[in-house]
Amino acid sequence: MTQIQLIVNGKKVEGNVEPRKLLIDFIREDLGLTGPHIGCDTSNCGACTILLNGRAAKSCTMFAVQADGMEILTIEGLATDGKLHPLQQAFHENHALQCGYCTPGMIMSSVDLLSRNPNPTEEEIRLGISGNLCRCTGYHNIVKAISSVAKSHIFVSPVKKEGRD
Amino acid sequence: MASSVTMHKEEARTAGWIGKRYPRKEDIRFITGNGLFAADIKLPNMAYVAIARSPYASAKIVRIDKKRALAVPGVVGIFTGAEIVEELDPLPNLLPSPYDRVRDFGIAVDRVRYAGEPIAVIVAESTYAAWDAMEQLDVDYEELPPVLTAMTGAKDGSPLVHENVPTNVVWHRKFTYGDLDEAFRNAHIVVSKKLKWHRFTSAPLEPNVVVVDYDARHGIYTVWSNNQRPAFNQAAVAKSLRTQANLLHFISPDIGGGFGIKNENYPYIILLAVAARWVRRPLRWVETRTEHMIASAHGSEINYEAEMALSKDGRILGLRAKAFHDEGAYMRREPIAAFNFIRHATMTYTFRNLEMDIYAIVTNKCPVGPNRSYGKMQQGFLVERLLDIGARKLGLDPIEIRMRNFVSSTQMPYETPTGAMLDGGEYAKAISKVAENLQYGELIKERDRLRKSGMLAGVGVSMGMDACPINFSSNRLINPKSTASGESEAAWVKIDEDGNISAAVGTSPQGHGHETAVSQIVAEVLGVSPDDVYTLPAFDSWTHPSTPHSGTYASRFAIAGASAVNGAAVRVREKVLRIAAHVMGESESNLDIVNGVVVSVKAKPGVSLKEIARLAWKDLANLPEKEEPGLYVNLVYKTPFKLPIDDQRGNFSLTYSYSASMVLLEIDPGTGMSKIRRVGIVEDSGNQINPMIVEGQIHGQLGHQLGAALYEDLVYDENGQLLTSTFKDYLAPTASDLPSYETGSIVTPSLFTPLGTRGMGEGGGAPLIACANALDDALTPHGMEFDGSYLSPVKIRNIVKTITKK
Amino acid sequence: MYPRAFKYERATSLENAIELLSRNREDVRPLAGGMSLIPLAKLRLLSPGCIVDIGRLSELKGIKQDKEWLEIGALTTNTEILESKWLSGSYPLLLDTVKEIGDVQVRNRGTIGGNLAQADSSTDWPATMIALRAKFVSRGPKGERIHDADSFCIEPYTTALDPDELLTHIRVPNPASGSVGASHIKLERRKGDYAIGIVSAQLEVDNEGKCVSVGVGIGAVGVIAVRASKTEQLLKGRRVDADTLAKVGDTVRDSFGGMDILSDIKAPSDYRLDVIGTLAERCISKAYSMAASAGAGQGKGR
Ligand SMILES: Cc1cc2nc3c(=O)[nH]c(=O)nc-3n(C[C@H](O)[C@H](O)[C@H](O)COP(=O)(O)OP(=O)(O)OC[C@H]3O[C@@H](n4cnc5c(N)ncnc54)[C@H](O)[C@@H]3O)c2cc1C
Ligand code: FES
Ligand code: FES
Repeated sequence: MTQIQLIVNGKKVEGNVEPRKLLIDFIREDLGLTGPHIGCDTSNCGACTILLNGRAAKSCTMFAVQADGMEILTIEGLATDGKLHPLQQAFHENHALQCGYCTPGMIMSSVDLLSRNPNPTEEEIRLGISGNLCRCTGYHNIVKAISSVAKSHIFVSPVKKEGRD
Repeated sequence: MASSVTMHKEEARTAGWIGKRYPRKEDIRFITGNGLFAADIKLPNMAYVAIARSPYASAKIVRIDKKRALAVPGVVGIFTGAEIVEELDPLPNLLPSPYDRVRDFGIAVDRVRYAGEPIAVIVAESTYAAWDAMEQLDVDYEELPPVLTAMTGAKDGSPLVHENVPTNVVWHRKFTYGDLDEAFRNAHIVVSKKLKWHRFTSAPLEPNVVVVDYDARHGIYTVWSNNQRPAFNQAAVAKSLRTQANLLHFISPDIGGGFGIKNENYPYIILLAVAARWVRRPLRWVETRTEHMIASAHGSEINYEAEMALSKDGRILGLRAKAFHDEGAYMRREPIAAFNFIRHATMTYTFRNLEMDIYAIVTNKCPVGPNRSYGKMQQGFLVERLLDIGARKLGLDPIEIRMRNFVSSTQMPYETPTGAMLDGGEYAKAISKVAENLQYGELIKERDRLRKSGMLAGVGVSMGMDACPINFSSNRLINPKSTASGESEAAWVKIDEDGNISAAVGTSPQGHGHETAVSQIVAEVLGVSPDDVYTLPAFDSWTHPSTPHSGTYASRFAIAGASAVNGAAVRVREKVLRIAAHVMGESESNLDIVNGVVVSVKAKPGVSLKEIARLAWKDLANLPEKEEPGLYVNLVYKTPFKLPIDDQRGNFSLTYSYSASMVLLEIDPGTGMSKIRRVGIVEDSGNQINPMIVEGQIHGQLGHQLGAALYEDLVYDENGQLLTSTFKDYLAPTASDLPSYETGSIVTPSLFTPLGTRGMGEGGGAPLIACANALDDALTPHGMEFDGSYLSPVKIRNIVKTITKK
Repeated sequence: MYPRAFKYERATSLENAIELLSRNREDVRPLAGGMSLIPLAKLRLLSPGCIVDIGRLSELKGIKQDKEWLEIGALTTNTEILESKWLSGSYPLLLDTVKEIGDVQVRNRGTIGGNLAQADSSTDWPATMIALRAKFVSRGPKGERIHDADSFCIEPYTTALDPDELLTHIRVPNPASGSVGASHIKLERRKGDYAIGIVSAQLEVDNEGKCVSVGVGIGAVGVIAVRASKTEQLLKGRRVDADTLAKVGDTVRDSFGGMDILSDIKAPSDYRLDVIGTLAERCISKAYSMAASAGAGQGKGR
């Protein structure tokens, strides 16, 4: 067992984990944050996507011990002061989700995308979420939602600059 | 407490919640990460399950030795198939003799019949430990030669998949309608073609999950699973467990996509139930993606040998086809996919002569099960491909040939030769509209420009049909002993003593937005806002109404679910108005409910729903004499179905949504890779409860259909190992692989449903078929044709090479 | 999925990493971004008894330019490379390559060193490094070694590194002139997938439009990435016209010697061998026209 300490959604958390425990299992099972999901075995689907030190990462492709000392933002930490993040709002308004299973990961990847590229083209949006599979929406409305946030310049990065590495 | 709102009746009826693009109520929990999916459920003292599976496609189990596995730290128990089935009765299946000899328990006992078949249940303190133990489980097998295609399985002398069933052809029926000889005698041309429908799956992003807690005090099993048809499967599970369905507390929480496949996780519910009872702990099993791909349920796989007779002017005179279905190892829902051609066998067309010769053949592969547009898109593929080839042979435009064959709106309702009663629609308008939206003429020019630039390019069109829901009397055509008929759905609507409105329905959605749609329907009827209606999420057999047909499958919500909710809401409304009439001294016919207040045309002060509710529940002495207390109606809606007309005809669905799709496909001749440059679809699903949700369903169909056409293929090797067992090899497309969609709709209300809605959501396969037709359009100028439904670059490149050699 | 248990060590410095690796050298793997190691560990296809996490070694991160080369730390992530200021100017092939790798999440974590150390012919960097004639610096208990990109991978998934040796830096030679053209063409079945055909090329042309230096690497065909020597010979000293281009395909197919050709469900070997010629033609043509126009842009073009 290895002792780890990290900041999750702004709060300090500690854990005692087997080194082989995947970060997604630590987040879901130990921390009880079940927003991030598991959809594959091969790092293809992105359902488990979180922000790690401000950047999108597949939490199924990391051991929890690797995240020791790092800062994690999950979907649960995205809304601030009870107010939805503009991307969350846009997913809702544009019907960019059906079953909602891909949604937490999809939104976190969109955060990464718009943090880096505030004015993406449609092609860039599609590339930006190409690490996230959705089986319900055919992506059409997801692209629309992200694009609407970009176009109206309402994106705010949830990541403090100094949090980035 | 009379409110001062007054309004005239005509104004009142304009609330119009049905038909509004109302943002979904369920979204909020998902976008904030607060959805409750089955894998999120964690109970005190829970233990975790891994399923040990057969590595072989066909083998005898000689011996299972648990010793080493039991010694792995954290292991709680290991139970083999042989041990578990002692406690079970076999799962039901539909087929008559001789397949009814098969005793299917969802776990192998002494013989394995596909790679991935469960052989043991391993329980441990963590999933990691359970997987450690699985590696230490010693199993001796004696390998047997596997049957891996329908065509080889059907041959005399083939190894048998089920040793006690004398043939792998477990179901065979020839359905003949009209006079085929006459049709083919009169043919100007006959299109003969072998076609292949490839195996794929809609693979929901959330794999199967089962949690079972056994309460020994009451003998109750509480089951959380992402089963998409819990009320239906509950009975089968109870039977197998030798208990009563009412002692199973079945919960389907939020479900991460179903698409049919999540009908099929019930065998795992049974396995976990037995294990949970034995270890006296709640258990959780979460399927991995690999397990999902190798062992959940696959879409059907068919070899067709078909011919279509056409007149000189392009009218279909007859269609004759043999269909060989590769069913995989067990017939659970099957042969429904093979049989489902019958729902709309002649599609949108008027031809009357049809022969379908159907063979269902078991093989040593993952069992086939429901998969979005189950057996229906396949029939579309057969008809639409042959018709398209016919058009080319006759020198007719593909739109024109369809126009010449459509059932016209003036013929509606139209009875097809198989007895399907088409419920209205304007087929010609749909195809014209998609052509207009994509500017067909310009599209052809663009295709020609691409061809000039050295690409292969084709434009393809196709119609699709989505027949729904299921008239279960169709089972009688498969097994005369079947006693089922019709179908139903249940809903309740309640206004509590404080005026709060709730509703529930048994449909157990998987992303379909039923909380929103139900709220809209109830709001419309009760004259409130959808925000005022709380619709119970998900499904819980102890709180939700249900019937044995409940669930979301076969695109049935807009028919059965919506009708049930509407019916219950209407009765609540009637009662509200009766009570209000009594209170207000008015005639009911003068009353309406507007913004939560019962108002009179006579501009008298209204009475709020809240006040009526108080009366109905708490001020009982003031209720009209004959009125029962409460505002609560539980209604079971019976979808109006009849028995079969004879042993091969009947109306087995109520509504027939249809669509027309068009694609422009570009193929790189150097690599064989296809790309969709444009894709359009126009669908008619009748009146729409929420057009935004309808549109989303159409997008979803497009994603699945285009994915299936260009990327997704389930391929076995010569030993029966699935080669596409992860999302690394099973190419579920990304956003970058798919185009943006040009969707449209037309609305002709269904002639047969209370709300004029048609079932929709599964789609009829039109975009996939349009891709295959487009590929043919690209290849035929070079004298080549395509025979499949999967646009494999390797295959296409091989075809192109023969072109360039010519 | 659920990896087997292992011992976890976190390295605090390069020295410490090498020491930890040496101590466990019988059954150890360094862990960088984990984008290859962890998927394999999850499927239990690779289960080292000890994992040494080198992810925090800052001395192996970052990009700096030297007189002769651009030096990239092995732990530099693909995202850092993609966003680096160095790429657009003199090293167009680096940019062209890194863009093609996986998806955002994979690029955010995956490192260039891990990619090369994985020695997988179907990833994007090996072919590019061969084209660029890069040198790899490694460090082990016996000190530093320099490897040629061509000989770094000795068989699939096996490099010239000892188990207790780390790849520390990648040195990409600076181009001699400004007339550089480059192209990295990757054929993939689906966006972000491992390739089923890679041609990576960099050309420099003189003021007559003749190729003065040529580097062509081929990936995802042979079981290891290879140099297309015959293609390089064909192009060297020549202007790339239609006749020359027509010969490119066959010369590329000559690069594999007796080597096994990759074959899987996405692309059987005959398909890979078939299409790689077309990809090579497209790649060379693109790189050449870029080089030629860069030359022209400098006012000394053809
Ligand atoms: C979904 C997905 C898609 C992908 N698509 C692509 C793609 O399109 N193109 C592409 O090129 N790659 C692709 N990859 C692979 C990815 O880019 C590489 O795996 C990754 O860059 C490897 O780097 P890493 O830092 O993650 O290595 P790790 O996984 O940490 O290590 C890989 C191997 O190298 C060893 N190693 C790591 N660092 C060193 C070192 N410094 N010295 C010695 N040995 C070392 C490790 O022990 C291990 O054996 C994809 C990966 C995934 C998961
Ligand atoms: S679970 Fe699929 S990428 Fe993480
Ligand atoms: S909404 Fe269901 S997977 Fe994306």
